[in-house]
Amino acid sequence: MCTEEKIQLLGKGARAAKASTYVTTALTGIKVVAGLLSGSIALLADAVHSLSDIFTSLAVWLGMKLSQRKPSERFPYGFYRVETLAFMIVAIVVAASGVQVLLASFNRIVSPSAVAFAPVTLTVAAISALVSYLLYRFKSRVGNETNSQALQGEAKHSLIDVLSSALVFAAILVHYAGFPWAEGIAGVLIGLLTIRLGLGMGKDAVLVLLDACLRPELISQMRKIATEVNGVRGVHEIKVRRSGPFIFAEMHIEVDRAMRMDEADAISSAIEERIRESIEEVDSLMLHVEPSKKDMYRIAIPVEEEKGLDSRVSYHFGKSPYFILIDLHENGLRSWLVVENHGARIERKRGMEAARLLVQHKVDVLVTKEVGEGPYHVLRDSSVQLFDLGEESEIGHVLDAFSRKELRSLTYAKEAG
Amino acid sequence: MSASDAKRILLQKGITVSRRSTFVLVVLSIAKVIVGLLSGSIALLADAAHTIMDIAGSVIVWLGLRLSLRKPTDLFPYGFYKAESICALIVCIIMIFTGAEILRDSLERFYVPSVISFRPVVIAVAIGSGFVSYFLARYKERSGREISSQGLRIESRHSFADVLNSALVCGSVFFTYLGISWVEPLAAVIISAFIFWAALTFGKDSIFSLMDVSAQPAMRKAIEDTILGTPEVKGVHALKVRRSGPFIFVEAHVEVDGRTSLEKAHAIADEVEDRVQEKFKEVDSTTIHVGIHEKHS
Repeated sequence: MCTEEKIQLLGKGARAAKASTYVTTALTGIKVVAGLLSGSIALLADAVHSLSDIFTSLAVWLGMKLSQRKPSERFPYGFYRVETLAFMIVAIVVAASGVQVLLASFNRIVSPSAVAFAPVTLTVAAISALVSYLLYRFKSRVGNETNSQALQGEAKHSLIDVLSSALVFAAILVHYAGFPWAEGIAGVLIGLLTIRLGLGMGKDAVLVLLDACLRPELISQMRKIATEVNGVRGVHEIKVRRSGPFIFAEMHIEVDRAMRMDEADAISSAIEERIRESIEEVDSLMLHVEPSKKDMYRIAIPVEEEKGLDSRVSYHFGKSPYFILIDLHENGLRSWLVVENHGARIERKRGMEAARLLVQHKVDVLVTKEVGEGPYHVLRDSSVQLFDLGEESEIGHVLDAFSRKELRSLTYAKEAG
Repeated sequence: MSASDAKRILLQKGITVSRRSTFVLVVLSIAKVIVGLLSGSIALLADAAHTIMDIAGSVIVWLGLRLSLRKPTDLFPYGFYKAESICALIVCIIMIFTGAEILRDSLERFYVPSVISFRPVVIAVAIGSGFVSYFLARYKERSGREISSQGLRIESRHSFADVLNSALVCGSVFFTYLGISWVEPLAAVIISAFIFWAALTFGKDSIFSLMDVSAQPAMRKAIEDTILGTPEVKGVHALKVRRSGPFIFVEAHVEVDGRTSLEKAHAIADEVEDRVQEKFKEVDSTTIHVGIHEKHS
C-alpha cells in the first residue's frame, strides 16, 4: 500500500466519523426538541447522554483527520498514532458512561420510579434505537475496511446505545407486567457490559501505545517470507508494533558472510518488496542484513584424482572427473569427501550437471579456475560463493588462502565448459 | 550489557524517589487527618482529602517507573518504557481535575467570601505541609531531570502546586485579617492557572512521546554527525530518533560503497551502533540498515 492509498483509507474513516457526528448531533437535537415540547425529563436526560456520543464521534473524526498528515521532521513515524489516542478517548468515555448507567440503575432498584406511558418518549426511543443500529452497522463495516480500532470502538459504542434504547421499551413492558424492579436490573447488566467493553477497549489502546506486539502471526508470516528468499540463512529479532491502522516492523536477516554488499542489498530489497506485497498494512519497515553466524563452510574444489587432500587440482570445472568437498570448521577442524562428477562423461551441458551436483551437496564455496555462464547462475541462485583458483595447484594452499580471505571472487568466462 | 545496566540503575533511582515521595505524602495526610480530627477543623480534613490525590499521582508514577524496568518480552518487544509516558499522562489528567476544582471553589469565593477562623493549628499545619511539599518538589524535579522522567517532573509540579496552596491558606488568613476579601480567590485562580499550564505542557509531552515524537533537533543532528563521522560511512538517510519513556530508539539507513563486503559493512554498522550508544547514554536501541551509496551526479 503506498502513502496515497493509506491517506485515502484514513480519509474514508474520517468521512465515516464525520457522518456519524452529524447524525448523532441531529438525533440529539430531536431528543432536545421532543423533550422540551413534551416536557419529558427522561428524554432530556437521554439527550445529555447523547452528548457523549457526539463527543466520541468528534474525537474519532478529528483523530483520523490528523492521522492523515504526512510524516514530518518532528514526527518521523507520521501521525497514525492520533487514531489510537482517539480510540483511547472512546474507551474512557464508554467506561465512564457505563459507570453512570450502573449508578442510575442502582438508584432505580432502590426507588423504582413510575414509568409514564408517553408515546413521544417511545417514538423517540424507537427512532434512536434504529438510527444507532444503522450507525453501528456503518461504522463497523468502515472500521473493518480501514482497519481502524477507533471506528470499531465507536461502532460498539453505538451498539450499547441500541441496548439502552431497547431498555426503555422493556422497562415499560415489564412495568405493566408488574415487575417494576426489572428495569433497574437490566440497567445494571447494561452498565456492567458497557464498563467491561470500555475497559477492554482501553486495554487494547494502552497495549498499542506501549508498542506491544498484538499479532504474533505477523512475525511468523514475515519469517516465512524472508526465509523463502534465496540466500537468506536465517532471521531473528522480528519486532512488530502498531500505529493507528498500520504496522511498523523491523527484522534482522542473516546471509552468507562472504557476500558482497550489493548482493546483500538486492536480497534485502527483494524481502522488503515481498513483505509489503503480502502484508499490506506495513508502513515503516526496517531490515538489518548481517553475516550469518555459520561455523562451518563446505568448500568444493575440482580435482583430477581420488587422493584426498593430496589430490591434484583440476583446472576444469564441468570436465573435472571429481570434486573434493572439504568441511572447514570455525575451530580449525577439517573433514573431506570426494564425489565423482558423472557429468564429465556426457557430451553437452557438463557444467550444468556439475553445478547441480554441488548444489545437491549443499556446497557453500566453490574454488575453480573457470566456470560457464549457465552453471555460474545455477550456483549463484543457491548462494554458492565462487572464488578464482588462479594458478594454485595444492589444496592446502587454497584452504589457507580462503581462511585468510585472500581468494579473489570469480565470474563466468564467455567460453568455458 | 553494561549500558542497559546503567539505565536500570537510573530507573531504580527514580523508583526510590517516587517511593519515598509516596511515603512522605502518606505520613503528611495521616498527620492532617489526626490534627483535623483533634482540632475539629473541617478545612484540614478537606486538605487531607486533597493529599490523597497527591498520593494517587505519586503511586501512579512509581508504578510507571517500575513497569519501565521490566525486560522486553515476546508481547512487548520494545520493552515497557512507554508505561512511564502513559502514567505521566494520567497524572496530568488528575491535575487538570484538581485545577478545575480549585478554580470552581475560588470563583464561588469571589461572591461568597469564606469566613476563615484564625486558628493557629491550621496555619501551623499549612506551613509545615508547604515546606514538606517544597522539598518534595525540588527532590523530584532534580531526579526527574537526571533520568529524564516525565512522570517525576510532572509530579514535581504537582507538589509545587501544593506549596502554593499552603501559601494561599496562610496568606488568606492575613488578608482576611486586613479585611481584603478578593485577594484569596484571585490567588486561587492564579494557582489553578499554574496547574493547568503544567498539566497541559507535560500532557503534550507525554502524548508526543506516545506518538513517537522525534528527539530534539539538536540531538538528532548530533546523532547524524556521529554516524557520518564513522569511517567508511558515505551517507545517512531515513534517520528516525524516537522517544520511548525516558529512553531513545534510533533507526537509520547508512550508506556504504557497493563493493564493500557484507562482513565489512556489518562491522561498519556495529561501529556506528557502538559510537551512538557510547556518546548518547539515553539511547536504548539502535537499528542500522546498511545500503549502497549511490553517487549523485
